[in-house]
Amino acid sequence: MGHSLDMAGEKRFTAAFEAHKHDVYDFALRMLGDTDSAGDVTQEVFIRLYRSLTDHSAILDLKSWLFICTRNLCLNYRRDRGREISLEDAPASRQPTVDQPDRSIDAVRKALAALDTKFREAIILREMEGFSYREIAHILQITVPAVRMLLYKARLALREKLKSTYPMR
Amino acid sequence: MDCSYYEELLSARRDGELTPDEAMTLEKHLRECPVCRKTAQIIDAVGGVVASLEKMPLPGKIEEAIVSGVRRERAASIENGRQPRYYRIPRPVAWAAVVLMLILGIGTLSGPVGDMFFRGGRNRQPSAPEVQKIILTENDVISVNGRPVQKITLSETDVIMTRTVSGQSGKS
Repeated sequence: MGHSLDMAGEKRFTAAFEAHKHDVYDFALRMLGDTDSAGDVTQEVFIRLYRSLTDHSAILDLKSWLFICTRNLCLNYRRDRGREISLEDAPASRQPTVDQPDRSIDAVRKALAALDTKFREAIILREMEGFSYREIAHILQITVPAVRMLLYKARLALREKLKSTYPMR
Repeated sequence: MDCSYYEELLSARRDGELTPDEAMTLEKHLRECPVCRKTAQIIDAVGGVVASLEKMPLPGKIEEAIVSGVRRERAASIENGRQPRYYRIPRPVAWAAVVLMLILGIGTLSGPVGDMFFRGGRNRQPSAPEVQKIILTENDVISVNGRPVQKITLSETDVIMTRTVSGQSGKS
């Protein structure tokens, strides 16, 4: 690193951290399944962001950049540790509401955690983070039609795991 | 009926990514297929629950660790590289200061700006030597270092000579 961050860069970093710290941690937690690993990854993501801003690396879409970085670090983390997510480690859901009883929320949370990684990350990026197909394609390094097909298959797999909670008849 | 194609369209509809033609095709199929209508309800219901899952907040101890890590990163970058820009005077201000100092500095030595501040002051620098024209008339004496060297005679009247003086000038 040749130099340190200027005032505008410091402000940009602080704004990015405050806006996305929970998104990054939650995504890492859903990808890895335990708080310590998710914390490590989150810390590394924001250190890398700080370095990238310091080096004036081009970051056109900050949120996409953060998720690409988080995803890559999570994949590396899992490859190095050889560890799979367990249902018990899945993040807890919010408090039940009248419209969404605790039973269905808990069932969906567990089903999501039990999905294959590629399906789970696609569902999270689309349903929880609201990324467009184009953004998901950029994050996952696949084509837009592949994203569409991936989400279709991911929803099929999720429905299969939720057959008892959401019966067809 | 194999509805897998329509299920794919239902997934894309959930995401708002259908083309107009696909949307028309799907709507027509849904009017005829109760199974796909039910599938559409489930896709929307499950998607709604996933979207409403509360995100896990970043624990305070991890946030503190990140802040400390960034602080170390900042310190290391300052140590290895140049000072952060915000600790330095902005370049335009620095240049303006240099120009102002040059103007004031030169002004104290000579010129109109210097005269404005130091006119008649004891530190005023002597002005440049002046060239004077002296008209010599009869009986004027030219002397060097107070010793007469030549007396002007009538025939030499109106001789014009120049000399360089640095103080009071005149003729004797």
